[in-house]
Amino acid sequence: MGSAPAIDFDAQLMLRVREGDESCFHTLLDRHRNSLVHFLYRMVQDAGAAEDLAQEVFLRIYRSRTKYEASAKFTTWMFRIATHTALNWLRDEKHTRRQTDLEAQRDVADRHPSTEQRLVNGVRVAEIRTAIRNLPEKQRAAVLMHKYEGMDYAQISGALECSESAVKSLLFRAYESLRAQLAHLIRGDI
Amino acid sequence: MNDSDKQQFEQQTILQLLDEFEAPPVSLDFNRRLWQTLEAAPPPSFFGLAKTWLKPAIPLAVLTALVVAGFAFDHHPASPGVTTLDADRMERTLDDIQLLGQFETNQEGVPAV
Repeated sequence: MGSAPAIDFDAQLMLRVREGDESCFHTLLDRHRNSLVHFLYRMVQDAGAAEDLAQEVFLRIYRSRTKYEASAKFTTWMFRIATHTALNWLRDEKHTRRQTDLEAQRDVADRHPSTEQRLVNGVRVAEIRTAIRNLPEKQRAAVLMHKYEGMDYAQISGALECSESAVKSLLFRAYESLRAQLAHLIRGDI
Repeated sequence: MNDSDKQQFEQQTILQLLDEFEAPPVSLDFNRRLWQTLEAAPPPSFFGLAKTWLKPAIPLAVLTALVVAGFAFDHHPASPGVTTLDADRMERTLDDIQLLGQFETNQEGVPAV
């Protein structure tokens, strides 16, 4: 005997937002604000831009509330919008330039740590950050959703609008690339 | 350590390294800024809301229309074309015209007294 698939709690909240209950949008915002901003920060590696993009994502969600259908998990839909927003931002040349400038400023700051340990940690984190930034955009998004958001293949495929086998392939190549780029850290050279 | 163990170790190490890449905390005024933007935005139009409310009824409306159309097609009355009565009347009229024509011809043929 089959049963209708259960609608997740977030989707129920969103359906209530669609009916005009704004308090449910507050709840959704509180539940997902941090994970969304952190995902976008790791995608674009610019704290200010990540918050601006997260605002844009929540705006889009709110504005499309009347068209919302609970056909997939709410977070899958939210990360799909977030990925589109981040990819558009990354493809914009102006932002790439601004990002490079910010990165240069951070590198200068990293060169003046107060202790040797802070220096070592700063270098390690900078290398990890660079390794993630060097990944192709879709691989980067897949790794971030898999590693930091704990999303499964089905959810990632929904967010990236590709097949599950394509997600597996993206993740395999991304982790291989990270392993190659961070081999010296794996060996413990730093 | 065989290849499989080595690969597993490296994968675990990569995941641990990624943990070190922390994101900064979100600004305290994030929600306030968002609500300011939302309040500045125009409310959804009446037609947008009406469309949303009526959307679930569309399949039912289409189904009803199809059933009504099917019923009408099956039970339609005879087409209001030419009835037998109309045909008879037309035939009589034509006969009358013909008789009248013959009568006029005869009158023209009668020599004046």
